[in-house]
Amino acid sequence: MKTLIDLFKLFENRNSKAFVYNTGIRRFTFKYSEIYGVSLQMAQYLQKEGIEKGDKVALWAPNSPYWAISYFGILLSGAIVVPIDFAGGIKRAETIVKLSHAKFIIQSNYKFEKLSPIGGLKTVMIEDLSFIIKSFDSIKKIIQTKPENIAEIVYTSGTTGDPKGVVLTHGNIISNVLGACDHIVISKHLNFLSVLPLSHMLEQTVGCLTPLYRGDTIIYLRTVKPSSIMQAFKEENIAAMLVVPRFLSLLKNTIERDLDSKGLKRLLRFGILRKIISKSIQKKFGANFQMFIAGGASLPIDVFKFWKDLGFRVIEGYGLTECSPIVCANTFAAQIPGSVGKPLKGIEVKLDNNELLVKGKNVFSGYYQNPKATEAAFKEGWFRTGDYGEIDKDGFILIKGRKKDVIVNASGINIYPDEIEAVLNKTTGVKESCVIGLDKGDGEEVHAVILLRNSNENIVEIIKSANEKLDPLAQIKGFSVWSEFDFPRTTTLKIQKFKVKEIILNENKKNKSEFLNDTLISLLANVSKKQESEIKESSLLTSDLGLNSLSRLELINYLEQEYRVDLEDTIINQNTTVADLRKLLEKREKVKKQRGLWLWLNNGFGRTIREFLDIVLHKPISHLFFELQSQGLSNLKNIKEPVVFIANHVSYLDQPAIMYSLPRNIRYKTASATREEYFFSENGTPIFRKFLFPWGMVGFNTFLLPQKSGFRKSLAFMGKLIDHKVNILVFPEGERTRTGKLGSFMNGLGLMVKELQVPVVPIKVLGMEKIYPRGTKFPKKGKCTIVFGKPIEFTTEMPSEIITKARKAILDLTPN
Amino acid sequence: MLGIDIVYLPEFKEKIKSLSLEKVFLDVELSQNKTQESLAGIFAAKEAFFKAIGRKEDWLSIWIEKEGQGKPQLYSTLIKDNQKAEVSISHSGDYAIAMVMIKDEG
Repeated sequence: MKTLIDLFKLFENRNSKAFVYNTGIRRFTFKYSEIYGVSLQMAQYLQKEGIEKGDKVALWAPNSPYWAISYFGILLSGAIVVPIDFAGGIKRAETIVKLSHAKFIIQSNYKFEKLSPIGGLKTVMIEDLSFIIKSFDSIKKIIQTKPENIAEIVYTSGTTGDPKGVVLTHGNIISNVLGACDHIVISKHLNFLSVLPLSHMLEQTVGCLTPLYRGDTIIYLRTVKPSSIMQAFKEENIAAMLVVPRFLSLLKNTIERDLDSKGLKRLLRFGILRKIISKSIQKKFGANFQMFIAGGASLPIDVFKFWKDLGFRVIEGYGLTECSPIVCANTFAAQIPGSVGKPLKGIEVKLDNNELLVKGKNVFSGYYQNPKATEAAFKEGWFRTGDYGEIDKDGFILIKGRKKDVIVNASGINIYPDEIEAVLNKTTGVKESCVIGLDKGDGEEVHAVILLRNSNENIVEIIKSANEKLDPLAQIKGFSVWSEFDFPRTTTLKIQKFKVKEIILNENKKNKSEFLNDTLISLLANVSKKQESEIKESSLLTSDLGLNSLSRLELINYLEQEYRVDLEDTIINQNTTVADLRKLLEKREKVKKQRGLWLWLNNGFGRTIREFLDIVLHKPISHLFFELQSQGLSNLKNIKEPVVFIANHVSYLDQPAIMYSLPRNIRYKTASATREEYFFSENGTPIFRKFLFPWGMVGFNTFLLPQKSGFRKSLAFMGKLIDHKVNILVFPEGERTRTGKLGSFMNGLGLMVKELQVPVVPIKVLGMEKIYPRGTKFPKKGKCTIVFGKPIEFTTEMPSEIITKARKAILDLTPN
Repeated sequence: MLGIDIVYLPEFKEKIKSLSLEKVFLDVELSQNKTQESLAGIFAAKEAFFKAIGRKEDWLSIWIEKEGQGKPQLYSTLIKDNQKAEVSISHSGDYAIAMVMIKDEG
């Protein structure tokens, strides 16, 4: 295997799962062979769009299977991938597109700011790709690729002064993939959870290409937030996850805070008790969890120890984009806390004045169109990492200091101090600035040290105005005024950042109180643009602090990241005070569960109960009231289950009538939606209905679909049903017909079909209007006909179109 | 029932940048509305809807679709089958404004 194309060819005959894409509602799986086929179509599409060998295609999108499909599609068409951080702002994206001369951009609907197709530039939304490339054939001829051909250009440093596009060849990347597999040998297939950005070589090589080479499965989440990550651990049998150190620090804080609130933190010191607590924490990560792989920045020893003591394996490594990216890593067998392990096979590391130099097939050949920077990066054929370290007698590498001052945040995003400095230095009042990463206990945060023009300049205003111009992820979180005449400088007049940092850290130690500021208050101050002193525990969030709906969203977003809880912004209303909010956060109140969603009804046990009840009770009773005739059963012969059945609603007996008309193999694999408000109405529900509720659930496999709030949770439940290959029957009118005619459909149906992405089978119920019409107390005997229609598949239709078409399909159904 | 909301575009742009769009907008809205201005209009419409029903709900329980001529139509899982919601959105300079009316039909 010499090129990424060779790696790609391995997919063709593999029948196992390559990707799982979890939308929070459904999980879509992609087999290796499918990825193979779709990527070839993607290549053909790019070729038709005029992409030729050597062209650059920018990829600015969140992690998803289509990121990988785009990646391979670009390579198969002979073009070069230019990955861009999705979390970054538009300015950075624009600059990279310009610098790399990209001709085509794959971007995303999920980004608020989009690159516009100007000056011959073409763009496509990654979300539209699945529909677009469907109509394309596979590429006729894969462009010949050699190991020395360029695979991608990855921009690493800031783009303001000295842009550095790291040029990586197929050979560079493949050598690192092979090296990684050789370094850490795991024979079992693993499930990888991928949340670090794929635009970084760390996630790309270690979290994507290596697992794909090994035949593992990678899980992507549509929404990456603390709760969805924990959900994924529970549901997806995750074995490994790549993280940056800050993620582990934050998670450590959450766990500690949680234990603290239960009074358990102290107990961690005692051996046996720690084991018990560890077990319960490990359980949250699932039975198969094996390891965190940490990279991107150095892992504090106390964080490493915390996780190790809890029984987790954290494998720390070291790498740089220029090295595609791994240089060295610990292994299961040999691990020294504080060390980043030994070099991978074929990679040489040596010290030169304490600086680490690297040589190997994985090392890049130069920066794109930047000979000056390229020259400076090498010394006699060795790549100068710019990091300082030591190598112990056994060959373990210890990192002592990083010359490059990139700040890595919790989501693994690189923040470039020079870009922030460029903005600050242009702000009025600033003579010069120095941006450093400062660890206040949660990992590094952006801290600006400002040399003011005049001592009476308003520093708060300066920071505020700079933050407005800065990328959302490069916001300044803390600041200090530099009181001396100038920053310490090198002989070449560069600011000696490590010295600045040392001094700032010392100062901060002196006035620690600054750090003990209340997090909630400072967040509120930040969002409401008020002084911290103005915020009281009794302040009302909306009227006193003036939080509008936008600021509420912003606040919730911050709180979720800070406290790692899932919050809905409905928790804040007109009467919510700061104290209320604090209580909510302290209690870590879980989002309310929706009632009436019982998945177990669809397992073997639930089915057996249902079949039994049908035989002894329900079917005999039903014969007292209706004689059934079903038509159009041939339409069900080749349906791609699971499906959504939709039917007109005439009487309470519709559901059993439809069920008994369905073939047995479909009948017991179908759940029905019932209106929550029927059983639990706000105006009081008749007692007998409350009794009916569990009976209906168990006997007829129903679940509750609310018409007021909570639709989304029922939708997520429906997604689970569909994932478990269970069909769903809904009555889209939402209630039994009042006029005898087919009423209008509930809007939710459109959303449901759109999210679930399964075929819809229309059903017409006839005759029930005579047997048990609305308003009658008891049914009387009669004939009922159930007509099944052909399944309808929806693709790009809007929800309202789905509703119109679905409704028409029922109207058009006629009995023979 | 009537609701109205106005959005100041510079503030909207500033704040929404750092948020996950999928918290507020559905896929169908994001694919039909690629500009920041139209998303601001939809945001105002959703807020106006909450005001009309008199309570705050999930942002994703309402969505706006543009019909053939570009007229926005509001859909929600929150309104009853005998109700209909009407929406109107307008833009001028730095502002987007939306009004929502929910009425009972027979």
